[in-house]
Amino acid sequence: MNSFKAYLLKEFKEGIRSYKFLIIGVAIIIFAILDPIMLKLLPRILASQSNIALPLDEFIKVSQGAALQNYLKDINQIINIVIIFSLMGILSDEAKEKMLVFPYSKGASKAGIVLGKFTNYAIAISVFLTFGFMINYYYAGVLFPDSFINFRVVLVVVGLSSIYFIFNISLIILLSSVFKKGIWAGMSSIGIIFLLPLLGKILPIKRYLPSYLIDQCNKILALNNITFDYNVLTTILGITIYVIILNVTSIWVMNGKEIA
Amino acid sequence: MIELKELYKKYGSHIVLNGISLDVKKGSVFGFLGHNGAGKSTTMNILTGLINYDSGIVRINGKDMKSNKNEIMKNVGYLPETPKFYPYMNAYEYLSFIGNLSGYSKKEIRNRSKELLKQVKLESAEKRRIGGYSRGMKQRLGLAVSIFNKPEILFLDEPSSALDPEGRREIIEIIQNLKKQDITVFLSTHILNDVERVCDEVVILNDGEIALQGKLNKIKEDYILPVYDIEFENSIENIKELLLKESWIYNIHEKNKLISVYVKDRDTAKKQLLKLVSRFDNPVTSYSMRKSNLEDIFLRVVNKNE
Repeated sequence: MNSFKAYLLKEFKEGIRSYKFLIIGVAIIIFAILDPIMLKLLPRILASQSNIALPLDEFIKVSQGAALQNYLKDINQIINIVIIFSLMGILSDEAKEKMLVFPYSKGASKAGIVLGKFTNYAIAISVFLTFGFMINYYYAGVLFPDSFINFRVVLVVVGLSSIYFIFNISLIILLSSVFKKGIWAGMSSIGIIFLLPLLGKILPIKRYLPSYLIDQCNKILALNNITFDYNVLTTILGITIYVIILNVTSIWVMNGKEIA
Repeated sequence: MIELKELYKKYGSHIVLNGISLDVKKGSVFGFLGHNGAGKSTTMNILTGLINYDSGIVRINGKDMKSNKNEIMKNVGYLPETPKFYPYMNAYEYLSFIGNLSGYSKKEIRNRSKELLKQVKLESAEKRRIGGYSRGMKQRLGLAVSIFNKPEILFLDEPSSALDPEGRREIIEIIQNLKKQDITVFLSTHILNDVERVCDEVVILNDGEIALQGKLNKIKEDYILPVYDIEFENSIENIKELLLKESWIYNIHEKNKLISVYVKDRDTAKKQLLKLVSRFDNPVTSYSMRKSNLEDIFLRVVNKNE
């Protein structure tokens, strides 16, 4: 518990002072603000590019729900990459740079180290996502006032996308414990995170994959109603088990790792 | 206090430690010597639980390392050769981090950090980020970190190699203070002068094997042989060859008109050397005897094994 608390606090400081929180937070917030504005300007930009005299506003109808869906897509793609590259060296860099020598020599628990790091970024990214969606919801509402999305739907989207990112964080931590260089952890994380949805298209395991939560977020935003294809709790339970397995494996890898 | 028996460690096919055994007594300062690649840091890393070993027994305070690693670590301090810190923290924050890891209360952390920062003379720099520290400052902070938990055993890996003479003197003083506090110090160093100043016992490690082990005074008694420095008036051509024919002389160093004669048998040397050099048609302008030091012993032991 001492190691967990010490690393939770240390990671919080590091997140601030090494600008990781700033990079991730700014990426999430910037897209939250810019996405609705870009969607609002899209018809005018297209009109100016193509010299079409037609009123494109009539053809391209954007609602608050569509703006939120667009933001969700950006979060799942660009922000995911930003998070992966910010966290890819979370364990590998510390091991490579021998930063763990003093903590290990003081008997630091590897479970405490791994869980401290995981908890810090799980909380931080969930908080950023909450702010991001709230800001996006507000701006989209201001710019597209014709249709409103139920706020409860947005809260469910925040919850589900946070769970999706919690899985990604535990995956990045595991790969960072396995690889000596952070870049390999980053590249393999990207590969796994973006290829997993394909697996759902090939095999009948779609609802057991983390990406299913993003699919369902899209769906409930489109319907403006909290109804899922299957019981989403099955997916959440599955992800909870994956996260536990990933974290336990990270601890196991760190236990066997020679860091001197 | 520290007991190693038949300790083996290899990386791939390269044997780093080839069955070393040693015993370190409580409260002693134990010098661990050897040239680069001899296996010193590997031994230190095994003793501090940072790396595993292939076979053998490692006991600290009577407890087996493999089954009691975490418990052992609570009573051990380690200063690596190049201590690494989180560069965005300041010295006080890093010590607090170590205090939190070790389960100290906030008050204990504050008091212990202040006490240690004063001891290693980093009080004025405690709020500066460690990333901006000089190597000497990092070494001093590393020492503070290593003794934060008031360890019974302290492992120091080349603690003064990166320091200027002033810094080295300070580290030696700190080690001497630790000895007074009955802390067992396991000191790995290249600086043999430091060993002579603080160590009670030494081990010389060579190619993963122990080449020499014992109390420093006893080793000096057994191994230290006199060196005769003889200066001639004229050039010293052929003198080296002539002297080396004597069985009781084992080495000669020449420099300009000065020769240093290393002897195997001090009694014969006392009687014969002066007679021998007086036969040369080259007047002696000075003749003196000096005691060889630990460095000579080290070189002799290591060269004998090569």
